[in-house]
Amino acid sequence: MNERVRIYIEFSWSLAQKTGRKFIWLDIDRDSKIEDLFLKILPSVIGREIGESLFKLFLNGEILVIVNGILVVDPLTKLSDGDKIYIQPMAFGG
Amino acid sequence: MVQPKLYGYAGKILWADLSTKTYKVIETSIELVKNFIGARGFGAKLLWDYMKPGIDPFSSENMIIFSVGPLAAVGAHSTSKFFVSFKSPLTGTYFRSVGGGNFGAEMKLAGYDAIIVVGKAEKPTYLWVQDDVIEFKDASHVWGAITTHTTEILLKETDRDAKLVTIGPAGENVVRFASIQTDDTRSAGRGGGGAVMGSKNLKAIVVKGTGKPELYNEEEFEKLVEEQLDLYHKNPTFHSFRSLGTASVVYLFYTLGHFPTYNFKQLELDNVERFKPEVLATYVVKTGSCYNCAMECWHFFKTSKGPYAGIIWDKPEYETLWSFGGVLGVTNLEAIMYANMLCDIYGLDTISAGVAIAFAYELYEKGILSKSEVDGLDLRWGNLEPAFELIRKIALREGIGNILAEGVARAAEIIGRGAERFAMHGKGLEIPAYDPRSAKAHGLSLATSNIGASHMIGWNTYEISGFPEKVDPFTIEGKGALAKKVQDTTTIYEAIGFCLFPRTMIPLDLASRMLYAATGIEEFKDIQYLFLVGERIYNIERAFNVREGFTRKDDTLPERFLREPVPRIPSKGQVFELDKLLDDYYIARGWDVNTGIPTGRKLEELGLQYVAEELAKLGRLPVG
Ligand code: SF4
Repeated sequence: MNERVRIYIEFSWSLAQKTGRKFIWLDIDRDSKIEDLFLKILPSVIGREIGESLFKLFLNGEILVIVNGILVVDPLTKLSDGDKIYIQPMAFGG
Repeated sequence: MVQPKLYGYAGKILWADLSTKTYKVIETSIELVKNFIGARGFGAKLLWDYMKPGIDPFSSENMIIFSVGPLAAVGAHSTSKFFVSFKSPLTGTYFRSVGGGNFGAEMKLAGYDAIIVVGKAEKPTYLWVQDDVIEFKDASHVWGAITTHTTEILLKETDRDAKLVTIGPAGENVVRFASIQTDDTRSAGRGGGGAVMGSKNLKAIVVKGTGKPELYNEEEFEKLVEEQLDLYHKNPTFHSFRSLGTASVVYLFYTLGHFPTYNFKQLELDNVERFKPEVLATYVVKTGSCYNCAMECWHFFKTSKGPYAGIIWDKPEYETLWSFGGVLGVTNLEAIMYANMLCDIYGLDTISAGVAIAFAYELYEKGILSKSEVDGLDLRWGNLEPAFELIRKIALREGIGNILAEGVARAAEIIGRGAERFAMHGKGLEIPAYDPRSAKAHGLSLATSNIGASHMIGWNTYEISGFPEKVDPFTIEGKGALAKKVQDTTTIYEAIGFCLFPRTMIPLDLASRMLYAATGIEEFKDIQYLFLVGERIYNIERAFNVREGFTRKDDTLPERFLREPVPRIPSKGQVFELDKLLDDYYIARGWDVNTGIPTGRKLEELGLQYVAEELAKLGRLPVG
């Protein structure tokens, strides 16, 4: 069996309204990727359709995925134990 | 020569002289339109042409120009911003400040692409513009009044449906960072435009228009507006912005290593969770928007408990949640809302006011300012109560407020005793809520910006939000070219008159098609041409500063960023490598690396031969 690691995911307020979840702690296989997160892991919690649509938005740069304070754009980025992931729509300050 | 009909534009510029109480109306020339598009472009070109170099920003010779773009008030969304251009009393540079609300559209409907005000009125005055009827009216009865009361009285005595810009007591008292307010809660905040109005005894400009600019291809334009709306609605940014505007990003930017705290000493704040969007959203009671903007990013917050209960006011934006929050170590949201409202009614820029107050807090902490020197206030981090008193004192120029009203750069000189180490500014403009060490091209833009450390001159989506592609925020390679690209692109959008918030949803190609359908000007179909104009405007703004004596030495940031490494992740250990970044930037811009001045060749390439000639005459053009 694959070794499991624990990650924490937080959706921004506007996305939480869509996903129905604000915070999630998840046990995932070590070396799972961002792509797996949207297409394989999150669907069990927020549904396949929302997972896929979020993944599409992520690929288009319309939602931001921040892992431990760093913006991540590569879907093949691997996740590690204790990662804190924040997901939010593209943002602009002023 | 008869000039061709201008579509999309109002076609006229109003020039009002307060000293003589006279005005003239001039044609918006096709050369001005083709070479500078409008809005920010008009302001920059008119300042270059008509402003005498070396004048005191508070002299009657300073000009204040309100301008809009060709897409204002013609049915497009988010395109009716007004741009205020002047020589800044805070920075001594060219300045452009941007305001929202309805004033810009009303100016256009009244028939003006720009309103230029020069001279100085003998007594408090307001300008009343009803289409082509212009009156210089006595404002003595509202002199000294806060902005909301002024608005109420002036609209009552003119026309309830008119729109206005006004200043508060801070502008009258020439506080160097006094704002220009419109629609009560909206501001053209930065750079001291309100003080320039105050120095001219100009309390307000009230406008009522009944016209409508004609479009070149109305049918096509309507289709493009549909396309614009379609792009908005499909994008999660649109929905996020509609739900909370810029306030929704505080927590995100904190996570990304921005949102500096305690006068930029730190990037850490206890209880930062209070700024999470789900908490802020609980205060929203109604929404609103600038003229014809589907983004509707105004959110009125209501406070219902504690000492600040009873306020309903437009929410503090990201910057203000910081300038009366993080930078003072404050997380009391109701108190921040109150400070925001005080600044609006006194007519103060919230960023500069907050940073000036944080400067005082740090000087007090370090023992540089004693309790008696700060009028007996106990300036402790995390406590906003003394800040309310400081806001009032600054606006009325009382006690320590009279020193802080000069802005942190001048205040540090007055105070001495090493205070300049804690004065967080770029060219005299107080630094906003970003840490230059956490995004190097963004930081480079803060350092080199023609208006001082403004975040809006080159807001780097590549580094901060990875759009349209991600660039590592911490590396320095290629950052000169990146900063240039973003500054020039921003300039294009601002010359058209776009609000920058929805910018990432409006591809330049769509902006260009809208511009062509509105104006019928062939050149505007070509995106490369638009880039040329963006760069031209940026360079003429730079040349204005060169004419005033600015050089590379002024493109800098406080020592704190150059020497002290960031204390926390994700940018832990980063410093701002100023010299290397500047060299790279000047090379990318085609400017002289030693002086940071555009070369003759670059100016010629941009169609600015006349600018090169004037700089050469002044001995300011680099040799070679
Ligand atoms: S996005 Fe907000 S600030 Fe910009 S034009 Fe629309 S309502 Fe005004």
